[in-house]
Amino acid sequence: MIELKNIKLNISNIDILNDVSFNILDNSVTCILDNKKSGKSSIFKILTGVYKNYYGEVICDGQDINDLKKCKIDILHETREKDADITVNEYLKFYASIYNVANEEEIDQYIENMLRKYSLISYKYTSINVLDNENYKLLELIRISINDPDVILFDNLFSSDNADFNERLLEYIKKLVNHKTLVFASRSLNYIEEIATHLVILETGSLVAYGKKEEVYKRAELSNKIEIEVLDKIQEAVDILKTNENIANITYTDKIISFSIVSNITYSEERNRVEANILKELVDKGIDVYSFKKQRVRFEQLFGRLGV
Amino acid sequence: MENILKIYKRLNNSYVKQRILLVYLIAQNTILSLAMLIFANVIISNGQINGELDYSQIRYFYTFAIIALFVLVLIFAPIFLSRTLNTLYKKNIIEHLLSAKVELSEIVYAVFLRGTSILIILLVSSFPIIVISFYFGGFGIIKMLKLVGIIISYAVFFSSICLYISTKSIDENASTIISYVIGIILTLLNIYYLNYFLNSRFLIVFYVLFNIIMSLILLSLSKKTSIFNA
Repeated sequence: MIELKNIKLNISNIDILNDVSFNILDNSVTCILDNKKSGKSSIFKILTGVYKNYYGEVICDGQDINDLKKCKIDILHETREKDADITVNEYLKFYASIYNVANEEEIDQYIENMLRKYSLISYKYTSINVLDNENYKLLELIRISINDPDVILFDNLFSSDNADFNERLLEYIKKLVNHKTLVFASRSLNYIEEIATHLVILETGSLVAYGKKEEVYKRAELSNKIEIEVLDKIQEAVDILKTNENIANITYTDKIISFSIVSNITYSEERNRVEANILKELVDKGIDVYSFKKQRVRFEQLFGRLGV
Repeated sequence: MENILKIYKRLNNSYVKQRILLVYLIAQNTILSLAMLIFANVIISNGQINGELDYSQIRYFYTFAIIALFVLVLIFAPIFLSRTLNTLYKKNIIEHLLSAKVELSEIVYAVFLRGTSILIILLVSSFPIIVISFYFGGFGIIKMLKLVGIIISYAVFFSSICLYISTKSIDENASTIISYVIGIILTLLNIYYLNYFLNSRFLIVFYVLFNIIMSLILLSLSKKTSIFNA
């Protein structure tokens, strides 16, 4: 677990962070949100040891974060290295040496396999500057996988306009959920909302809200609602749903039933399983379900409800 | 400190850079050799006309060689060092390395090692040509060794000045210009006072120690700089 206690950061007489405290739990997916430049990247720079002149304490598994060798944190940066002199292969091998990955033959094979997996093999001997931003992010994912850290920080990971690429990226990230501690810094909840377990909301360097996603939603009076459209037998469908202990807040019109999943179901995989079971139960009991929609929470909505 | 050589290797890994260094070496030593030949030719021609060699002219011969060594340091140290750290910073390489648990001091030392080693390769490659001129100019072995000590320690000192300046400004051109200005002043002072150092054992020891201690201080200040970390 990483504990940030009363963090204050001032750069060139500008307060970047004001007394920010929150915890990053092991194997959680924490999303640090802000709607402007409110210090989320600075938190990452503190966590990775780039910024050292801050006030407060950052404790990682009981030890100060500046004892970096003990706390295995890596980051997928928003910015990219602009080095025309280094090829993709050299870049990965350089970082493998920095991470003290001992066996050179194994690492060569690993790099080869990963470049194939992420469809970057044709770039192996080209400069990293040739990669577009999307391929560079994939390269960074390979670099991080070589390091195999316990905690991975993602700075504006889903910033691409290419929705297909973001979905592909999300699929890679989902494989890390429950095995690694993931921390996202983002200006939007797009893509992350589905996997986030905890939210940290910042506004001009101050903490506005922190907690489990559902708790923050509750505070903002929002929840992840599900809407089902049925062709007939609406009362029967409502009765079936009412018997399910994972369902709360059922409302319905002549064709549409809205409800939410109870807030103690946090992890996306479990949530997906519960949702799939609800749908299966309805279909098995002869209800013709025309559509099954999850209402996504918009970040602006969340900020508005929190009074920011 | 284990990462210094890894970063040094990365900074040196480009074949393009190695080819450029080779071209520098060939160009520099060709120019030096040609200048020496022209000087020798002038002295011998004058000797043939006058019937005897004017040994006082040989003094200019090795004065030129000494100036050439200092000018080499003046030209190349700012190129290799005064724009390196701020360029790495602008290319986001420093931030990425720091977040990969590399210490800033390791980056500073690796950059210094790379710049200074190239500079010393350039200087040492010119020594055979220059030693010939000194030898025939009646410059004894001891004096030549003293001169080697002076030029190498000065190269290390000036390199650390250039590196330190590069940590004080994000603008590579500004740091390069400032380095050249300081370099010109130091080169003139060195050439002016060189005879004092060459003729006194105490002064030469002081000179070498001063350069090394100042280099260590500047390197230590470079890694505590404020433009790379808050």
